[in-house]
Amino acid sequence: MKICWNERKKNAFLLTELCIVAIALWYVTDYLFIMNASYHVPLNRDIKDTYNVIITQREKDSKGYIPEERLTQTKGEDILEIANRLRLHPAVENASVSLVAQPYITHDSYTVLHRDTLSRHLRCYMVDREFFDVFRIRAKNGSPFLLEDLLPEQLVLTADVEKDLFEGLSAVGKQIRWGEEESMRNICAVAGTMPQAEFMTPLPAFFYIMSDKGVVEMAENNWEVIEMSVRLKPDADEDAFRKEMMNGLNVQNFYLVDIQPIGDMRTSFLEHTVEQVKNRIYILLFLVLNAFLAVIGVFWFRTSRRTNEIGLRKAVGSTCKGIRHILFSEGIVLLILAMVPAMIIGAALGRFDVLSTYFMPFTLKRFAIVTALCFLSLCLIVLAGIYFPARRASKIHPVEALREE
Amino acid sequence: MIKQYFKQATYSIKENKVLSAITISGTALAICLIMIMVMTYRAKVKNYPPETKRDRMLYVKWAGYRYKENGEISGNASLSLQTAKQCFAGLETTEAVTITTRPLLKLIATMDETEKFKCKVLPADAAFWHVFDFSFLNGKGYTEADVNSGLKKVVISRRTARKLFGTIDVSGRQVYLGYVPYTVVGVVKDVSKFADSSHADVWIPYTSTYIREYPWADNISGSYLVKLLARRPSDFSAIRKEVKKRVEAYNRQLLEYDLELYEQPTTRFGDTENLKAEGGDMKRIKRQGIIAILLLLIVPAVNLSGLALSRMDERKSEIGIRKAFGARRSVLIAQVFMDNFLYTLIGGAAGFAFSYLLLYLLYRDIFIGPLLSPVVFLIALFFCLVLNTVSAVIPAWNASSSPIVNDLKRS
Repeated sequence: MKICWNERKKNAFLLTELCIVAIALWYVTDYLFIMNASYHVPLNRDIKDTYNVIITQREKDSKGYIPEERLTQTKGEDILEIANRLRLHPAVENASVSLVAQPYITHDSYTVLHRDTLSRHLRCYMVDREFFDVFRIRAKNGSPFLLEDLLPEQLVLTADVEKDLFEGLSAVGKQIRWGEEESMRNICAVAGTMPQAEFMTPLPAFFYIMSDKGVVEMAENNWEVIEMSVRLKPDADEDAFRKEMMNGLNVQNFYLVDIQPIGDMRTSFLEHTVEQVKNRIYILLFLVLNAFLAVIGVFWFRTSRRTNEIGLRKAVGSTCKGIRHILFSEGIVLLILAMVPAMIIGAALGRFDVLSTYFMPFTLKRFAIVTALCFLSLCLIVLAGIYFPARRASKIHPVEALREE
Repeated sequence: MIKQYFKQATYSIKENKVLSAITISGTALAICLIMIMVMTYRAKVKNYPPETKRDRMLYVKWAGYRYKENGEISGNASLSLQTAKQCFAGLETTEAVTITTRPLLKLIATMDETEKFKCKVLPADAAFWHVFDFSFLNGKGYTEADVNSGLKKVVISRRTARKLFGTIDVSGRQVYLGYVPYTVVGVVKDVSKFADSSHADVWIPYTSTYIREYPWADNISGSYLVKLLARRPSDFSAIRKEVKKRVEAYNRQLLEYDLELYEQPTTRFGDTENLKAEGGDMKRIKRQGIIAILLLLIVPAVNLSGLALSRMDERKSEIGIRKAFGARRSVLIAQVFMDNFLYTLIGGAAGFAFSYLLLYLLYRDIFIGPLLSPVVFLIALFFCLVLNTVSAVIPAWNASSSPIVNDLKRS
């Protein structure tokens, strides 16, 4: 402790630096801690090997355009035919038609469901039965849905909606009123909860399962925005498949524009958040490097200036380890002093709602974990920074050091 | 004389390898960070080809529609063509107005269909080629006459030209765009993703293809975006006033809904942050940015000062002895200055080089050329020089004024 006080001027600089770094580190650690937790919430779907099939219609001036009078089936029937053609292809495991339901799309659709006196504004996914298989959406108990359980023109609720509207009882087989209609709809199954994407909390929602006839009707009215998704077999060649489908999915005026990996849509969707996380990490690295340099600088110099003192200590029996011990303790003392303002400010930020509580409230547990992580990281920096000077100090030969004086 | 200082400085750097390395690294780190922050900001917000006139441009990309009866916002989307034309076409306070739509995905193919792949299409008007500064490698942009007649003309990027034809000398040739024959009128240099208002693989007149309309809510919203080019940035407030008048007149004609433009037209800075329709909190974002920068600069500042102080401690005795041998104070100070100048220079060069490397690794798509900013580099260098020097000169000054005895005693 006495040594600390003697070197106080330079220690003051180091302490200031460590203080600032500690405060910034605390804030960023909290952010990354929350981000990491929210990233790992189960999504209840698997987008690996899934693709968005982008089809469009030829225009009047297009080569191969078939005029209205010469069409043999409706646009809706065209789309169903394309989906069936995909399902029969050897490289395809399954294909699905849906509306405002694909993962990582940027628009959404909400509808109100009523049960007795309760009304809820819920996310609405219009899908066919194959959708659950294409995206591996699981039931509440974690197992895949059986095709027999997914009944056309009935609803599948997510588990959080069931819990909310049915007070802990099973919703399967029960009925619910949709929007302004008078008639009731059956609920055939309950799915596990599903966040819209990584970093988000589960989104209360329901699926409406369309029959083939329903698909045709919906596709007819919404052919410009209808979604078609495929799951390819794991060993399928994506590029070969795409090339083949460029000519193979021509149905009347429809043709294929592209087979887009859902992963690409995910990258776009998460782009903004990921950029924010990356920026914070870069800033963190910058601060850590600076702190590291500061610690090395001050302590390196300290050992060179105190060679005579160190030599003296050694001459009277202090071990190498003892010398290192002194240096490390100095570092830790400074570190603890630096952590104090960081903890105070961290707690203040939490109290005054500056920190994000979207995913997790600001509890004592969160504060404790973040502070611990922060302290450990700073420990590592300080210890790493003192390691080399300490090694140098322990190499000092007592005789030589004394001679220098 | 200066050569002498220089030699002495290089000698002292070699003498204290570790401390020198640390000081140089600290300087390099600070400069690297400043350069990267400045360059990414410039690519996103400042003039960057082909968006070389961003500083005098205003942006409109959202049109909300508000139910006249209760004033509530009913929905948001981009502008309809009707809104774009009635509120913005021919504004007198502007130099030019360009109307584009949101990018489309289309299939592009050679006429014999041997090459066929998706491409990003940006439908635009003729003023687009005036507002944005594209580098034409072949041919030129389509004209006002082309747009008025809805002619099927297309400008393609170099990358697209190469992929389709293997060459860029392709003006006059035809391609299929969505199986509709288009004539290539020009080939342009590839556009970086940082130029997000003008980025695409190909550009066509928006009148040449089907653009979806949203006729509900009085046809206020649609798929169109508007950019206004002012003669000078000082015209912005006059432009906003004229737009306000036009919007009021437009709203009077509408039956059930009113157009809501929120804080638009915005500058480029507002455009980059304006992710949601209702606009971000501009003040808070700016404030956060400034706090972040200040914080980031304080840390290396404290760092460099502390290191300089440490270095000076070492040299106090040396200074005292030199004084004993008759060195003048000014000489000693000059030496200190030269030492720090050298540190800063080496650190600065290293930091500068490193920042380019990092930027290339982070954003491979970025074109560094337009981002070269000697002014910013010099300011950053000056900042580090001040830090390195001031914290060294002050103790040196003290050392050279205190009695020699004290210095020798410390030794």
